[in-house]
Amino acid sequence: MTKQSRSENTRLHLVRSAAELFDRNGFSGATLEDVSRSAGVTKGAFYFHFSSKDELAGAIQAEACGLLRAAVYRVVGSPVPALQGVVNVTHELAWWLTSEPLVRASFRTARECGHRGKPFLDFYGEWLAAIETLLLAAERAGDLRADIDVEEVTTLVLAVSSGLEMVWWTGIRDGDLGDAVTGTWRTLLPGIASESALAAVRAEGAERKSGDVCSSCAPGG
Amino acid sequence: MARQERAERTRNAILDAAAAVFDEFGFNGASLSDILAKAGVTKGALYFHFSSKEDLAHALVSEQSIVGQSLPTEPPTGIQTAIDLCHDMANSLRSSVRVRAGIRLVIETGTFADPAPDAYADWIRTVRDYMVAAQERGDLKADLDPYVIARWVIASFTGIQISSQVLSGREDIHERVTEMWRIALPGLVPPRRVARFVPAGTAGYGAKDIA
Repeated sequence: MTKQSRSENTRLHLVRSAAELFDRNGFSGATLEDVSRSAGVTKGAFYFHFSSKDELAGAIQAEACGLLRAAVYRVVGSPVPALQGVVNVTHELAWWLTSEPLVRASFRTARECGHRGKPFLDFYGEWLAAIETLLLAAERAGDLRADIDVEEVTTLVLAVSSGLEMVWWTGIRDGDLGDAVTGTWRTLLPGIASESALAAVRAEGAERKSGDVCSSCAPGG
Repeated sequence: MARQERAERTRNAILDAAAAVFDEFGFNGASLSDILAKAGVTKGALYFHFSSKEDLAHALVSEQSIVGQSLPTEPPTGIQTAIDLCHDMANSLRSSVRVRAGIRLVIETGTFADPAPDAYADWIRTVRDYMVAAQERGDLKADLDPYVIARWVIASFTGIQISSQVLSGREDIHERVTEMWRIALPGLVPPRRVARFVPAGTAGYGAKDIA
């Protein structure tokens, strides 16, 4: 049992070390030697857990998907109005893109290897599903304009979030990514939200306590 | 003179071949030998024009500023010009392998030596100028920052063209661009003016049949 959990820890440690390297150097720019060295494990230990770099990339995507699912459950289980929930989760993504190597590496490997399909697009798929789930809840709650097609808005939100990430990546980083997300919602909400929801929704996302990193994504939360 | 023309033709053939290979395999996946084979030129000819794979990539990326050149720069520009620019870029992406390769290389920036975000910065500046003009005319809401909106437009377009590529091979790109503007216009334009603008593009900038 102890042995098993130690093995689990080593595996997670490898995934996190690899995420940091892929985030920094890209998928093709990081070798398996680099990964084992930075995780402080032997190559044999590495191959005990993963048979290839692709498998490792898949494990990173899976961990990032887990973070996202947890965020969606938190929103769905909270008293926050449905449309506000969509806005809050996009802010959480913006926060991850500045500080969470698992998510950053998922996006970067998707950018570089997305044409190879799975597992490189797993996080994108999860993100698309998350937006759609939350928007459908908003539609049921009457938060959306009557003439809105949820599928259209879902695709647009996916496109805008990946586009913001890419423009950020090219080095155009004036201001904070969260502010860019706020700007996006200010632009989109009048075309999406019902009149009553529009008056209530905060484009800035969940209220943050000063000095707090992100109210809904505290470590271990 | 004839020699110069021939050199120019060779350079073009190399760029076309490189664009096709970069478009398909990305920067890291592209090999010089694939590019040579496709262009039908010798290694010597390639190195006469380009010093490296990076050099080829930079040549294609710097061509990106050509996109949208057919659009008016003199007044009156504004919201509709920004809409038309997006559709024009969509047309270029569908019809020109060089534009596709350039955009893919820009997105992969950082995987080759020297990042080149200039293409994005240029587009954002162009759209910002349209938005400034629109705001002066009262077409863009007074409390919006033209630069922030311009950055949003280019980021959104980038995301749309990527997801459209993944989901439909860019078949639906004009439709997606039209949706983006239809949903965004009420947030950008004072209510009584929204109907003045055509999300699907005007003046021949909308969807074109690609032969």
